[in-house]
Amino acid sequence: MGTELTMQFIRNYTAEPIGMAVQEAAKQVGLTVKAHFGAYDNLGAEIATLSSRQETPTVVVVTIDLDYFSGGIFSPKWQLSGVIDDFKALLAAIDAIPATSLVLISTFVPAFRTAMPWSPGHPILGRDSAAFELNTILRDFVAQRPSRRGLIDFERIAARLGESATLDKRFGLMTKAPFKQEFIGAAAEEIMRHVRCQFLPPKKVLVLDCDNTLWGGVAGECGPEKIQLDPYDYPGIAYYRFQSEVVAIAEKGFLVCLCSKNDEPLVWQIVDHHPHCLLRRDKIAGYRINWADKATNMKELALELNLSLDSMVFVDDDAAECELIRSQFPEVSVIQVPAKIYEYPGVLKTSTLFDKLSVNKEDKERVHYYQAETGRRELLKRHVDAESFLRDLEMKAVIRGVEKGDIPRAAQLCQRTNQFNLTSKRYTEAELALLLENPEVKMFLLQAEDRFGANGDSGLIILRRSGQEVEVDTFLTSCRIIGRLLDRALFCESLRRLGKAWSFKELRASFKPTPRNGIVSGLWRDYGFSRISSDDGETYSCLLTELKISFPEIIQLAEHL
Amino acid sequence: MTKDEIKGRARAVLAKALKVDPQTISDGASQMDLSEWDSVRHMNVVIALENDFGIEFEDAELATLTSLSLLVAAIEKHTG
Repeated sequence: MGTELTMQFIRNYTAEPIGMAVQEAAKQVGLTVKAHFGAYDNLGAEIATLSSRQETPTVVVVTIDLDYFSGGIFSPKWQLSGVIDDFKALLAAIDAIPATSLVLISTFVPAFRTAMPWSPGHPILGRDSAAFELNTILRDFVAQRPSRRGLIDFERIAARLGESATLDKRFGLMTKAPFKQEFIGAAAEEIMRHVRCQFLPPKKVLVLDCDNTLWGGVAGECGPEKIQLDPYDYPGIAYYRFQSEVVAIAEKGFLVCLCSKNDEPLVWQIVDHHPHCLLRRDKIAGYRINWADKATNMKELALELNLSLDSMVFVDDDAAECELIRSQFPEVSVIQVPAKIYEYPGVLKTSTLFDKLSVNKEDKERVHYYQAETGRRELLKRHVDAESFLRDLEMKAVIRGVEKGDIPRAAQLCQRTNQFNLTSKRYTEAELALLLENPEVKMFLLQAEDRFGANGDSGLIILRRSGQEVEVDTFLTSCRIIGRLLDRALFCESLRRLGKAWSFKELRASFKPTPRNGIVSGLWRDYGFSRISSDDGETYSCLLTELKISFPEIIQLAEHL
Repeated sequence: MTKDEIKGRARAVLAKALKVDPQTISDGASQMDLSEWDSVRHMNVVIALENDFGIEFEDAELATLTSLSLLVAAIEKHTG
């Protein structure tokens, strides 16, 4: 049984078919959604009830049919100004729903046809344009609240599908179920995009072939100057636009790697010097440009980046290469370049594999952290033992209490970290915001750097007081700093700080095994903890005086970096 | 199409729309004894049958299609 979510629908029409489609889609990705539906047309009261409840649903979906909203669009008393006032009042009520719930609000489907040619001042123009007006208000509302509220963009879905696949005239009138099945499926998918971003591990790496993938033509045959990448020529423009999508994905914090059967200097000649190449070397986190098979190269890239294969997306024009990766690593997402190259632009942009709700400083810097790894690997080769290597890294660490502005990154660490993660609690931003206000909880972030560059905010510990004990609720570090003793720095310094604020003698901790965190299965014993009896057998305790670790002297504790 | 052929096809469509095993739908199956066959899924049932048989039920019929045998009779009428 995977994660279970509760989803409350607040609606004024028969939204049950959308709820059922969400449940089906969620099942496909191992999530269980329990859907609840409020009474019809009781929007304000339903929202007010949510605001006062102790336990709120994981997700709240607010979806309104304009036909029935604010007295109904066909009422003789209908006025746009009144509808706007009612809608704004509803949004103000939505604001009071606790941050623990993710609230998704659907945009309105605009009228497909107008009653008159579009001309100013016509008395019925208001009805035809109401959806556009309300959607503008709604988009502004959501844009100002990026982390807790989201849109389900019915307007865009309707534009994509057209009137006949959107509106069910018969059931719209008979049972207040206005949407066709195609629209319902697309609406459910939009809801799932938000759900996946919040509750499922994201993809992290985009691995690209070069010839006929990043550019048209085979560089080794036509020469680097003759490849197709000219934005003013077809098919060059298709590859150029594809590259611009790759760059946009890199800027969202995904790592871009090359995996190409090619002569390496040829590829760099294009990447570094071709006038139209957008994906330059500074945006590439790793590469395998050789004549080895791509399955081996993918495995090596995963090892090099210290990321698992299921976080990778592979793009290639060659059907055989795609099949090789699919069969060897079913967990890798594979995208084959379409045969009709004019279909190529948009393939990445419209793929939901790269969905992300927000982009922070860490995302923008990530590629540089990985590029610095090359220097570290070279240094490691020159050292016979690990300790002298670590000493030579000249590591510095800042350990600071989590503040409001750190929450997006802290939540991202909870969502993304799989290996060095003792309890794998996938806290969302909203949940961390609540923990921040809890006086019985303290959270610390680790920021690290060494002589090769910054590692960014790469560790998090959440400690919870319970009487004379302190429980380690969450302890994780990013995979890029595993094995550098920085976990000990974070642990020891956090406890030292905590000792100033709280009086406690004993620590309690647990290890929750997952398929990916075996690397830390023995961590609590190494730290000096002993296992105590519990239901799951993975609970540990340790008196402060019995801790076996201390702040590593090879790491310099700094105030800021 | 014979009545039995219609019944077999309608049973399969009904099962798919209700997301149940076709074997659980007896000849006498009705909305009364199939909890999955609620008013919301009834819309799916109607649309799925219309698409499968290439017909369109009349408005007045929709609320009366409450059992497999009534569905089969209505489909027979439209395809006959």
